[in-house]
Amino acid sequence: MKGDVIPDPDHVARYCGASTVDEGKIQAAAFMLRERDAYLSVNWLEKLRGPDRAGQVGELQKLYATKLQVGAKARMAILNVGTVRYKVENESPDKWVLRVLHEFEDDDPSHSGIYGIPYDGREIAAELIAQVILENYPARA
Amino acid sequence: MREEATELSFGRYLAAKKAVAAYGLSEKFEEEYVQAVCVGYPRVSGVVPDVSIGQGGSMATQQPPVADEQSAEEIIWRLRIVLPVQYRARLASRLRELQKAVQGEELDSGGIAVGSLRNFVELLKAHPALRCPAVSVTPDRNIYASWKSGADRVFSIHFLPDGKVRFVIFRPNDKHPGQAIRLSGTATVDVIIGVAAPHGVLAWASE
Repeated sequence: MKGDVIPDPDHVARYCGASTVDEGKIQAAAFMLRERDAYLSVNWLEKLRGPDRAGQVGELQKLYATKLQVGAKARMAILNVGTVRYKVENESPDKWVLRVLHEFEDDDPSHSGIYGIPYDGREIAAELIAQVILENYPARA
Repeated sequence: MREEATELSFGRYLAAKKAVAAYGLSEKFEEEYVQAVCVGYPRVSGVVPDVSIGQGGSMATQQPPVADEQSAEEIIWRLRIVLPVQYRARLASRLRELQKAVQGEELDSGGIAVGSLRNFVELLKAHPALRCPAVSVTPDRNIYASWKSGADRVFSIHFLPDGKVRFVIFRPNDKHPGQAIRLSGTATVDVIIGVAAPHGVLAWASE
């Protein structure tokens, strides 16, 4: 339900546009907030219908195709919620505590958000998150 | 004289590129055009530094840009001349790819922020010993450059369009093995290397 806290054992996927991928490697820019953003937009994998990672990836590829201009080199980064929260809390200058909340949308039921990244710390938060990417897959089918 | 000749050559490059696109010709246009210039294609001014410059070509193709309104395309073109030969072609190719990606991702996007791109190129020009960084674009369309060696050696610069930069440094804590020092801050593009150098970043960011 909207506003539910996503538990630490679960996973989220972040869409990484082609402009944030260099030679196949996802750069920190993929996890950077804009000033107007209240949270970093992600998708909750355990909320998808796909029974396994391949199914989840396929479902997200279809979703991205309906919402975004997906470049050939765009990727999706898979993150573990608990790992991201631990990394940022333990290694950020002011021990930022992140929360990952479900942000249900009618056309995107798994939509979620990573809250708690300070805009003035967006680069260091992005670098820390980029260091704990578990897997990455093409964003285009 | 050299600057004027470079402006004329860029004007001809733009005109020729539009013609290529209009007629659906070669996808390797930039490579072929540069080769044509280098082998002394008739009536085209050379753009190689320290080579005697001649004039030629039709006045109709001369489109010198206004100095304060350089486009991203022109900045990418110029870096082929001003940056180290070791990586300038590769970087130009990467920046063109990024420009297309940014324009493709947002329908009303003008591409990479020109001021940010200009400041990025100026930094590399001022510090030719720096290695070619990994380059990406932020959601605000600014250049983000990173030099990394493992998870504990990171030097990244976010180039804002107004000459300011925001930077991140991760480096090992030499007195406590296994621990890292993590810094972030703001500076200006003309001082950032001087600010970062005492933290040892040049050990992995330069040749």
